[in-house]
Amino acid sequence: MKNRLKVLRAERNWTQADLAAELEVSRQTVNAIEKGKFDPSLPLAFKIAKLFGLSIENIFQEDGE
Amino acid sequence: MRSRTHKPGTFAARELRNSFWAVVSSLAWGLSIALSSAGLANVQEPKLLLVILVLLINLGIGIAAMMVHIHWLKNVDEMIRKIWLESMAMTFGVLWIVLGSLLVLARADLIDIDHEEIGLLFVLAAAGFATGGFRTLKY
Repeated sequence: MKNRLKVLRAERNWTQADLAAELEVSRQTVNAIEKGKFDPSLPLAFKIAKLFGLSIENIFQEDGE
Repeated sequence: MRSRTHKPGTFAARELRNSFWAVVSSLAWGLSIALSSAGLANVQEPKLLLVILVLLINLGIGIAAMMVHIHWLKNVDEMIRKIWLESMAMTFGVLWIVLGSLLVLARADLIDIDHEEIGLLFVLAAAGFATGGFRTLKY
């Protein structure tokens, strides 16, 4: 699954640690999600979407899309 | 947004504290088993009461370590939890394979299983668990 997390984070000048603290996850998890190595659960995806004020599909897309 | 990773009350601070106690409880468990085994080995004809006491200490510290680990697993985030659960599954599998092999070899009279081989299983379990957990460093 692809995502725009890195771009959205960079637009706000947040570090991975900042985003991790907001989402209450580890920095490693933020890094893994950004690199597409780990797909977040639905509750975490909703939390990310809420934090950036976007819908889940605006942040996460399937690989083929 | 300022970095708040290790300030008290944050997720990172809680995770650090829980991880610390998980490591301490594991070490305490290992140390109690090692010390009690060494102690029993140095006592001439250990009394039943002493053996029961050692078993109770092992049971008590073991249960405490399990509770600490369950608490720790509940409080890490979903990716870290997934990695450690896979690590536990691998450790469990490796132990079954090694124990099964040892039993087959012993049944075939190719080896004798004594307390030293059984002690090695503990070392193997700890090494397997730690190796699986090193995957968290990949990220």
